[in-house]
Amino acid sequence: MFLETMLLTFKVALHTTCILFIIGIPIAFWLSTTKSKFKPIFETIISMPLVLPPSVIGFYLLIFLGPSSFTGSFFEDWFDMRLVFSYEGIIIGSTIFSFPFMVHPIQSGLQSLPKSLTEASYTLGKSKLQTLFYIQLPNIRASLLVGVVLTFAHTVGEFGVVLMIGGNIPGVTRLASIAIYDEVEALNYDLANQYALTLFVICFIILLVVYMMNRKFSGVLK
Amino acid sequence: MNKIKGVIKKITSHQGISLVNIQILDTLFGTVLLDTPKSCNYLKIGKSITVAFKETEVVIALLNMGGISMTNQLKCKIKSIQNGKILSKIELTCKETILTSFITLNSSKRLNLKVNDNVMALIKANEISLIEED
Amino acid sequence: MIEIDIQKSFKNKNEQINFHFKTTIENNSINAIFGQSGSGKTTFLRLLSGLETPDIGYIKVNDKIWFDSKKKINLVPQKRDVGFVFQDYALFPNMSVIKNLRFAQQEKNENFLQELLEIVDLKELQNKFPNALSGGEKQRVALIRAVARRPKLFLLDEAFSALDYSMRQQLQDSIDKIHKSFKMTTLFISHDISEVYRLSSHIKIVKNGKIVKEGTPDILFDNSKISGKFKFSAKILKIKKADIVYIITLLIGNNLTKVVATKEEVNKLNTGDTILVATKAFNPIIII
Repeated sequence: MFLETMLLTFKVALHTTCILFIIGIPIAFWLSTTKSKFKPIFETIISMPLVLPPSVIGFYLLIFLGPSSFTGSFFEDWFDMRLVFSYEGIIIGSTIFSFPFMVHPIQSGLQSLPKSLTEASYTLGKSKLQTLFYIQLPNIRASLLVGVVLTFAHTVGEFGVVLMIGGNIPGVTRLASIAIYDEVEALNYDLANQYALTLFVICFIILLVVYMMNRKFSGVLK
Repeated sequence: MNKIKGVIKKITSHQGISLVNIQILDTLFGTVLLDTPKSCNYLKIGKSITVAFKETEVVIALLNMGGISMTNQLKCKIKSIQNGKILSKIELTCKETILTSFITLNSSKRLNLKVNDNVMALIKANEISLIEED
Repeated sequence: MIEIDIQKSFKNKNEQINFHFKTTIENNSINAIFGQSGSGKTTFLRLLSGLETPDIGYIKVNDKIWFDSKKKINLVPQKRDVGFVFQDYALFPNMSVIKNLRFAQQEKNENFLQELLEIVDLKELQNKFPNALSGGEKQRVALIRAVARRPKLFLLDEAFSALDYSMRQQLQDSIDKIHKSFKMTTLFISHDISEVYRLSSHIKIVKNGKIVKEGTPDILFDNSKISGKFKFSAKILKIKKADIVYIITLLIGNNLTKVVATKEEVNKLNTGDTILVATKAFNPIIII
């Protein structure tokens, strides 16, 4: 039971991080280069999860992804996939909720690179895609790492959205943060402590590794 | 820098060195250059040109002197004399043109130069540069 | 030949700035772009390279059109075949020197890269990363990286400004050697008259976004067409009265010299000005 919940927690975090890494880079790239006047609107939408109570997002996701909604019934009819109170549901929920934690570091990393680096690459005949992969991303490794780790850690620690959209189904949507709440409610302080301590230690180690690696990166790039 | 306008009258070249004669006021100046009409496009007979030479290269001679090797001689009148401790600045007029000469104070005193004296200004041929002005 | 007639205007604070560059550049020539900062020199190079787009006009390079607002042609920088040396070097920090060079090549040619490294005397440093290099070394890497794909047009944006005197000399040597070896049409921005004299055969003087004067470097000085063979551009370091004349202390290259001037001449001069000093080839005495 304990192990199952912990593994599920990290599986969700891993999947969410991978998805966000793949979609976060193009979005951050677009935001860092666009001159569109709608840019502030997109930035606002992406930053909303930072300020909104998680339950607000969870609530709207429940409405929009529920079986009676258009999206919910569409997925249910065509893919036999239920988007609420399911694994897919909490992946969608945490992806949306952790969006700014991936996009912001990458966007600011791209923006802080000297413009001349990309321009130099363009004048050397390299396309935008080649420049992104060979020049820009390798030179913002520190920002990428920050994005990945913050997303991962934030997903591990998420509570409200997951509870709203996932419920509390053991082995499916019951994540560690919810389990702690559950055990405390049931007065199982020992088990709650076991969850809490494990999360604490693992998060501590991840962050420590990141900061140590970051020091190495910035040493190379200075 | 002294500058006087003139017109090129004659060019004699040999192995990269040229003697250029320039009509200035009523005298014919000569200057030696490391250029030839081939290497320098303004070396053309009839071309208006400015001759330039430094004040310190203008020698002043009294009129009653005997012969002298210098080709470039202008008859001038002393307009003003300004004495320093070592040098003396002599301003000369030759028709409407004003020239300046720096000589030592000793020489100025030895020649007993005074304003309105008539003197000769002498400039060595290899001290004269040419300037093409648009 | 490169034919250029381009215009660009933009607003800087409340000031409307209009750039209009109209000129021609001969193939294989080396050209200095000279002017005050803010006169539009960098913009000129950026417009040529495609990093910025003119509002109207055309850029024609040997009958190939790079830009034409009427025909709606605007080649991206990648297609323009230029080598651009940036003021801040813009070396890729994630790549070693040799990888920076390899990245720049369209077709791999390791021998050519080694030849380039040889020219700028950087062979030993090819496996170092940019952050381990000095400013002068970085600039030389940037130089040969821009040459690595053998561009038609070689553009140098204030490549010298951040370097001290001996590094500048070295870089000037490198540019000279590269131009002698590969004969690319070259444009470089400079504030330094001695640099212009040393490197360029043509100069374009830019003022308020326009090319106001062009020709040989001699046009920098009003009385430039002086016959004296012994002439140098010099920077005035000091003007001091001595007796009834003035003594001007000059920096020519990295040598200090002095010349005598009159009061009338001194009235037109300030310390920091660059002047041309000339005398005849007959005058200097030679000491061995």
